[in-house]
Amino acid sequence: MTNMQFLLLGTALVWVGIFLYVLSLIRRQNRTMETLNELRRMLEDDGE
Amino acid sequence: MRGKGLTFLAAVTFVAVLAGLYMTFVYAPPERFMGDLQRLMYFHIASAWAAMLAFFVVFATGIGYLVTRRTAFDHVAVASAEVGVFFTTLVLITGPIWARPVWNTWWTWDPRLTTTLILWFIYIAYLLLRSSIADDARRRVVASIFGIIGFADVPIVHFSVTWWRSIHPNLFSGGSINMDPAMTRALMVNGIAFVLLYALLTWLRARLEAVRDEAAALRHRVYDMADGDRP
Amino acid sequence: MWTAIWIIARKDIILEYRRRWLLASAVLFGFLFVVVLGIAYNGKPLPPDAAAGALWTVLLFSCVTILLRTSSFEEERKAWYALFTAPVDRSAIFYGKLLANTAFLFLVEFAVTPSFWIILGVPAPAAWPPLLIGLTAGAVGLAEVGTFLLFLTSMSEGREILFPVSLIPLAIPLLLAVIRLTAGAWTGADDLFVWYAVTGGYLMVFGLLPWLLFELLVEV
Repeated sequence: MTNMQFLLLGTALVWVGIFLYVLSLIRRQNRTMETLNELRRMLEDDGE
Repeated sequence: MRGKGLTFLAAVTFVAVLAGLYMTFVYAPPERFMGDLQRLMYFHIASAWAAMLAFFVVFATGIGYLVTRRTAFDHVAVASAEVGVFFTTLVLITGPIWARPVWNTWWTWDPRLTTTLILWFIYIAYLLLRSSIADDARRRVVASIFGIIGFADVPIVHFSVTWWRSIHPNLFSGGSINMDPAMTRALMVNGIAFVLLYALLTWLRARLEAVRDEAAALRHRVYDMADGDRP
Repeated sequence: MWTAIWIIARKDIILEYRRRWLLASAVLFGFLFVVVLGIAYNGKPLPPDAAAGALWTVLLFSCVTILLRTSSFEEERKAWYALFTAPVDRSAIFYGKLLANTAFLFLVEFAVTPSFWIILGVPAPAAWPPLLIGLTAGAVGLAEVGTFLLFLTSMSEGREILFPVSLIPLAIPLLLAVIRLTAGAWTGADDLFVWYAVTGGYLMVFGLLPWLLFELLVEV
């Protein structure tokens, strides 16, 4: 591998890594929000 | 208001990251000995700065939680630890990628590299320990205390590892990099970009933790009501 | 305060003395480890660096094992609650436990170490003080971090694995220093001052931090 390829590999890993981490954070957030809303609905239904 | 703050931070971070990329690949000159490969240093060192900041924040919010007992501190602490481990992972990945062509080896017991590795282990242990304690109040106290002693260990690790390597003959005296002023500026811009990135990621992660806490509290209420329904 | 520490330590030591099989097993565990090392090295004598590293690997494993077992005793019987109602400064409980654990680690270390040069053919050290100070400081230091982490991990579900996983990275500076001291004992190196300093600093930091933090840890 040439130096340039090492550089591109490193850069790609850094930014793909950051992108995937942000993606996972947003997915986890959405999933938890869904659960939260479901729980809220359940509580409202019970409250009636 | 809150949503606006996050959008603003995301926008600023995006601009800073673009500026950092521009500085890295266009503005900064290639290094004399290592050529273009040295450009990896901007991400490598910037990630290391962000990670150190992250672990300091774990320490500070740990103290904050123990003093005030406000869960917001704990949310930031866990977020910061996770983001810190993430940045440390980036440091540990880019380090060997840089070292391989330059020093012809993947790993060296370079003081800073070794310290980073130990930090990585300490904060992975922090995250594992956290997730293995079911009781909420207990988990927060234990995590805060571990964050404090973990950070207190950092300078001792750093000095001991530095002395260790300086007493032994250093196989790879790579020499200091001749820092061109343009390189210093590129590093600064990348440093700012990564610190902003750290703030953004931590914000997102802390927000997630707060929602999780809320969901857990609601789940308890649902269970309680279900229990109450029983004859 | 001092009497409280002493009483707690004495209680632990008497309890361990009554069930000697535990300490005996820990020592045996260390011996077995040394025998396996001897086989792995194909009967050849170890060079000093490798010997120091191997010795501390064995000691670290034995120490983790013994620390985990001595503390489980009180949990099985829920004796903590009684202990925490004692009318003493809470950190006295920590230092009492620390004293007892140090004693156990001393015992294991001084039983296992001689087997090293009997079985593995390592020559007698060129200088004794670094070896003895290294062993002593290693026992005290591992007991300090270990005892604190035992309390810290006591609510964790995966304690058996999380205790060593959190202990070892925190103990790296101590291990590094005592391994250098031990290796220095064999090679007769005289530039060991820096390792005495690291050991001393580590013992101070992890001896005093619990005094500040222990109260917070056990209040829940």
